[in-house]
Amino acid sequence: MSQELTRVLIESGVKIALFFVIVLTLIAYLTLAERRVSAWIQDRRGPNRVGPFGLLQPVADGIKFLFKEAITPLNAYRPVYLLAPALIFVPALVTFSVIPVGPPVRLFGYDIPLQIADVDNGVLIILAFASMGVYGVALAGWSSNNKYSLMGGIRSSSQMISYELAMGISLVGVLMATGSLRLNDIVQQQAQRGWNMFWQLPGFIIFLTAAFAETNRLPFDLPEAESELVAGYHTEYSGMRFSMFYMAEYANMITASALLATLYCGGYHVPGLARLGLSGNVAALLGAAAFGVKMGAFLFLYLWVRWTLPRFRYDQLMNLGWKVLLPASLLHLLWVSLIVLKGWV
Amino acid sequence: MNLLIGLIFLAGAFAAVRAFWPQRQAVFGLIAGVTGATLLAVERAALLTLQFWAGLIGFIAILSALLVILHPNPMVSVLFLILNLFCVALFYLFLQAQFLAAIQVIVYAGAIMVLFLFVIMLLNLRVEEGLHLTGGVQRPAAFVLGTAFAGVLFWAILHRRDRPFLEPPGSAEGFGTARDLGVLLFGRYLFAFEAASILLVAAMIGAVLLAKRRLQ
Amino acid sequence: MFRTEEMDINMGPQHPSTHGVLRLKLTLEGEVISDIRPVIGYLHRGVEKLCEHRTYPMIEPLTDRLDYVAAISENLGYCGAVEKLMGVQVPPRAQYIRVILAELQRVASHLLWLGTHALDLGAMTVFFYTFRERELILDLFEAFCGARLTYNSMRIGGLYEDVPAGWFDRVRHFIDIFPSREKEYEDLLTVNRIFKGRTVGVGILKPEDGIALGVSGPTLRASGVNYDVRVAQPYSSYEQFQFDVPLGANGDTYDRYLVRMEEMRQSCRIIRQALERMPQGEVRAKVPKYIKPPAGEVYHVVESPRGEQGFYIVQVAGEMPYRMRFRAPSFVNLQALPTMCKGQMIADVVAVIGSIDIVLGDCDR
Repeated sequence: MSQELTRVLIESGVKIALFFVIVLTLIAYLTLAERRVSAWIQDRRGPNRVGPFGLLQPVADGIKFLFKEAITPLNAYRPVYLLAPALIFVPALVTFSVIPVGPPVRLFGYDIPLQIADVDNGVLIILAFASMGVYGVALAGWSSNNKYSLMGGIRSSSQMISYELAMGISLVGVLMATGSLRLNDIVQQQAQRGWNMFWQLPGFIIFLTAAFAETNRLPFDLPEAESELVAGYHTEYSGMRFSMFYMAEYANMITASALLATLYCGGYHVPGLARLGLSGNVAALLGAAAFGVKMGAFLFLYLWVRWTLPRFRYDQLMNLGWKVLLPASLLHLLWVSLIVLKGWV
Repeated sequence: MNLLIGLIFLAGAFAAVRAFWPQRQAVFGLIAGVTGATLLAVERAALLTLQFWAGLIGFIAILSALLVILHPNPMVSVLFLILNLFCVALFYLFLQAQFLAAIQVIVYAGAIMVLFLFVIMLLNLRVEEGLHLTGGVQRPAAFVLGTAFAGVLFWAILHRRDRPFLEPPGSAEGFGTARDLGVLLFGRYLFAFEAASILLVAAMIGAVLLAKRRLQ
Repeated sequence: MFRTEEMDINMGPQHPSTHGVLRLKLTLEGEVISDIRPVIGYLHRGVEKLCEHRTYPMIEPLTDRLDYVAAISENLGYCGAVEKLMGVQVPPRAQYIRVILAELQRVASHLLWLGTHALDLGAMTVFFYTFRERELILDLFEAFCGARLTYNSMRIGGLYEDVPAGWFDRVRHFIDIFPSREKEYEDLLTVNRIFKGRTVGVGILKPEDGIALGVSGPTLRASGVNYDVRVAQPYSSYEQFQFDVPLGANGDTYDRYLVRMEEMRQSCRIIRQALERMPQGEVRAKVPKYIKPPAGEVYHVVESPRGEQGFYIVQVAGEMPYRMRFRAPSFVNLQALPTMCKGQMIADVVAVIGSIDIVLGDCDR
C-alpha cells in the first residue's frame, strides 16, 4: 500500500468515527432538547431528574429502549420488518458525509477538509440518499401487516415523493447560481456574493417547507399522525427497533438543518471573518462553530414549529405540495435564471 | 485467484438465497462469512483491485436480478430490483460517470421504484396471486424472445472486445460530469431528448385521463 | 381486471383519539369515509339500574361518574330533578353558588375539550395551556368540596355547606385572568391557517338534521339553532342573569369551536353577575333527613357543557326510585357522527369527534 493511500484511509477513518460520535451524540441530545424546549414552550419543566439538568436523560432512554422487548407481530413479514428500521436510519446518517462542516484545517502538515467526502456531485448524493429514506417508512408500514401502519406507509411515500420535487427544483436555483454541484463551491460562492437565503428567499422558503415535509415533522407529520393513525408506520415496533425510527427522525432533522445552513446560509462562512486576518486553523474552527450555530438555529426552528402548529390534512398536504410549492418553485427557477443570465448577482 | 473469488461468490450466493427462507439463515450466513474471511485472508491483495469489486457487484447485480423474477413475494422482488439498480449505479461509478450514478439512484431507485412499491402496497397482492401466468402463448413467446435477447447481448459483448470492461471509456477531464452530459443532451442529442420528453408528457396525460375517467 | 376494494378499519376502542372507549367501524375508499358506524357500550356500567337500589342521596355520587368531565352539571341536574319531585324551594344563595359552580364547570369542561380537540389536530401545546387554567378551576372545586373530579358537590335542597372564606375572591381572580388566557388559545388557533383548513367546512351538520337527530348543546347551536336550556327552560335562577347564546352559521367544526370559545366568555359573564349579586342567607332548604319523595314522575333538564342533560325519575314509594333514566347528550349527539362524517377524510373523523365533545362515561352510562 502506498503511503498516500494509508494516509487517506487513516484520515477518513478518523473523520468517519468522529462524525459518528458527534452525530449520534447530537441525536441523543436533540431528543432531550426537544423535550426541554417543548416543556419551555408549554409552561412546564420537562425531564430534569436524571443527572444535572436532566443531561443524562438520553442515556436512561437508551438503556430503556435496549431492555424493552422487541415484539414482532405474528403476521409481519419478518425479513422486511427487521430490515426497515435499518433502511431508514442508514440514509439519514450517510447524507451527512458530504456536508462541509468547516474550512480545511491544517494538522500534521496536511490540509484536512472538515468533510468526510468532498465529491463533485455532493448535492446529488444528498438527494439520492434523501430519496432512499422513503423505503424504510414504506416497508415498515407494509411489513407490519397493520392497516394503520400501511396507511402511514402509503401516506409517507406519497408525501415524500411530492415534496422531493419542489425541494429539488428550488435547489436547482442554488445550483444555477453556483454552476457546480459541489457543496464546497456553493459555500465559497455564497461567501463571495452573499448568502443565498437573501436573494433566493422564495427558494429558501420552499426548501424549508419541503425539508419539514421530508423529515415528517409537524405540520407535516401525517405518516405518524398520532390522532388518526395511532403511530402510523411504526405502530407495531417496540424496543430498540422503535428507537431506530425515533433516532432516524432526529438524524434527518440534523441533516436537513445542516443542508439548509450550507445551501442557503453560507455554510461555515462568517461575514467579515476574512478581514480579521486570523490564522487558518482558528478561522476554520470559528467557521465550524458558525456552522454549528446556524444548524442549531434551524433545529430550534424545527422544535418551535412542532410545538406551535396543528397538523395538515392529507389532501391539504398534497395540494400544498403540488399546487402551491411546485409552481412556486418553477416560478422561482425562472426568476433565478433571469438573474443569472443578466448577471445581476 | 479467480477461482477463489468465484468460491466466495458461490458461498455468498448460497447465503443470500437462503436468507429469504427464514430457517437456517444464520447458519448459512456464518458459513459464507467464514469462507469469505478465510479466502480474503489468503488473497488480501484482491481487496485492492477494481476487478474484485466490480466482479462482486456484478455478481450481486445478477443474483438480485434473478431473485426479482424468482421470489414468490412481489414486495421482495421490488426490493431486489432496487438492489439491482444500486449495483448498476455503482457500475456507472466504476465507469467514472458520477453524475449518471447519482441520477440513477435518484430517478430509478429513489422515485420510480417507490411508485412500484406504492402500487404493490395498494394492490395488496397475495403471494399466490403474483405467481400465476395468464394464457398459453405468453410462456413460449417469452422463452423465444428472451433467448433472442440474450443471444443479441452475447453477440454484442463478443464483438466489442476492442473496449474491454472496466477500462474507463473517457478518462478525459470532466467526463461524466453534469456539464459534459448537459452539453451532449442539449446539443448533439437535443432532438432525442425533446422527443422523449414529449413521449413522457403524452403518457402522463393518458394516465391522468384513465384515472379521472370516473369523474366525468 | 382491476377492482377497487374498500378497506374496513376499526378505530378504537383503544385508539388515541376516540376520547375513551368509543369504537368506530370505518369503511374507507382510499382515505375517504364511505361508511361509519359507532359502536358503544364499552363503558356501560348500568348506572340507571344501580340507581334503583340506592337511596336518593346515594345516587348523587353515581351521577358524578356519568359525565366525569362535567360532574357538577350532573349533580345540578339530578338534585334539580329530585327537588322538583319533592317540591322543594332551594334558597337563592344556594342557587347562585350552584350557578357559579356549574358555569365554572362549563369552562373547565370546554377547556378539556379545547385541549384534546387541538391535540387531535396536532397542536399539542394548546393542551398544556388549557390544562393550566383547568387546574385553577379544579383547585377552586377542591377548595369548595374537597374533590377534583367526582365532586358530589350538592345536596338535595341546596348545598352541603357554604363556600369557604375567600373563595369568591379566588373565583373573581380567575375570571379576571381568564380572558387573557383565552386569548392565548385564540392566538394559537382561531386565525391559524392550518387550523382553519382542518375545521372550516368539515363535518357540516345542517340545522334540520341536527333537530331531527335530537342533537343539543353547542353542537346544535353551531348549526344556528337557538336552543339553550338555560334560556328555554330556566332553572336554578338562570333567568336572572344576562348572557348571550352564541350561534354558529355553517354548522361546521370551526363553528362549533367558535361557539364553545364564546360560551366560555359568556360563562365568565354569568359568574361575574352572580358574584356581584350574591344573596345572603341559608344554603340548604329544610328537607327531611330521610328523603322519600311523593309518588310521581318528573323530568328535569339542564344545559350541561355537552348539551341537554335530562333526568327522568319514576317514584312509587320509599327511599329509592322505581326507575331512573338519564338523557345523555353525548349519546344523542354521537348519532350525528355518521351524518357529519360521510364523504370526509379519515383525518376529519378525529376532528369531528373532537368537535362533538363526547364523554363515553356519559354516552354509555
